[in-house]
Amino acid sequence: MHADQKYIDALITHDQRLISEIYQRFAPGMKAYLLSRGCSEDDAGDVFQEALIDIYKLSTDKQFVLSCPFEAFLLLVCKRKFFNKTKKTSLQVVTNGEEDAYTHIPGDANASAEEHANQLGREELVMSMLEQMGNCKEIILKSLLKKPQEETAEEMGMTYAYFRKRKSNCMGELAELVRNNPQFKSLVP
Amino acid sequence: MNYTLEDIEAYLNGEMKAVQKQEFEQQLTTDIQLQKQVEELRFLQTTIDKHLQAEQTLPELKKILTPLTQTHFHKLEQQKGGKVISMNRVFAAIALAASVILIFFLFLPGVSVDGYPVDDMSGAINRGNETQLAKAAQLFNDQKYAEAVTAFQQLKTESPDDATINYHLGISLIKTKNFTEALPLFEDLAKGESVYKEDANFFAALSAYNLQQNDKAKEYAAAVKKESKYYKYAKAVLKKTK
Repeated sequence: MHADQKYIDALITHDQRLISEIYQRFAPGMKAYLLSRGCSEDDAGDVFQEALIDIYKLSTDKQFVLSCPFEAFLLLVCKRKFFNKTKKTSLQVVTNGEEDAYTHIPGDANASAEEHANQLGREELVMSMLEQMGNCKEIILKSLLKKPQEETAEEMGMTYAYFRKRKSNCMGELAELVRNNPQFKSLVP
Repeated sequence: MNYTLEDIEAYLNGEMKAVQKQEFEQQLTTDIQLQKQVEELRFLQTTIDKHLQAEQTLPELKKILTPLTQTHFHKLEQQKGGKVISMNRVFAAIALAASVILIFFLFLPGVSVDGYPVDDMSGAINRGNETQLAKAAQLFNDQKYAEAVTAFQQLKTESPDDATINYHLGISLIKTKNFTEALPLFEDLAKGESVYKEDANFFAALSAYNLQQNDKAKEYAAAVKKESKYYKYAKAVLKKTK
């Protein structure tokens, strides 16, 4: 576990002091980097905040263990997020921007950061595919509520047996969608 | 023995009887296919569960993050407080700003109400993903909006409350100038709690504006937040409905 795990824990516990420290330590560098790549100041703020939210979602079950400097991980998440933003808009990426600011991050840290960022990418893909699953989405989400499944089945006008069957089929469908997604495959180690 | 998805789920959820569980675990030690299936389902379940949990506490975290983002990324906020500036400099700055605004309005075209961007819908067709929804997403991304309307309407009959379907159907309707059907869709989304809630305010405003329901257009346009990518377009709606 890296010493910067404290920043992960701070996000989970909403520790204001340490979250402020994240901004003080990492926002100026990340902002300079993103602006040098053609990002606007507003968008840089969005990218930074959304990256922290993504990291929070990844680690909210307290199972995630950071094995590299927080800065290396955050930089990679911001980079990917910005790249995705440019794909959705006409924004051009400046390719010879300020990379030098991050030469202090050791190479092995980048490898660990990439592993973490890939895990985050895989989870995001699962959630975005679930989002597109219509009825199945509802069944899967309701099945994960912390209440008796029999009650949920009744609310949905199904027998318990049928609800379980539908839920399994839906999970199977989701698994297949995920398995066949080329982007997901590229994120698997 | 061949185990079904239901069996694997029962195992993961601790719902298997002791004898059955023992047999299952025995097979699991040698059956690579079963190991993969268990891992796959475990990953899906934990991911969804975790993200659901995070969504519930996210508003609290955002209350901490948003002001910090404002402070560290927006110049105006950073410059607040502290420095004493002479009145001459203030007047000079005001005059300069006024000139810039004047030049902007005189010589540059304003933000058009219809210049808003539309994000691609994720999940369009790729190999192994030729579901109805994926086909509809592909039509939407290819800007074949009339065909997308038909595809989304068909999907809506099966899932009338699906926010993703309703949002993209709404945009397709706007793109085909059917504002009458688009407006109630966006009004519902704006009232709901989906991820489309914020954007729906702008599209409801745009639909109402095109239907000449100016009061409604103003109301929805005013609800578009400053952080939204549609903010400046909502401002344009407000300007047009003055």
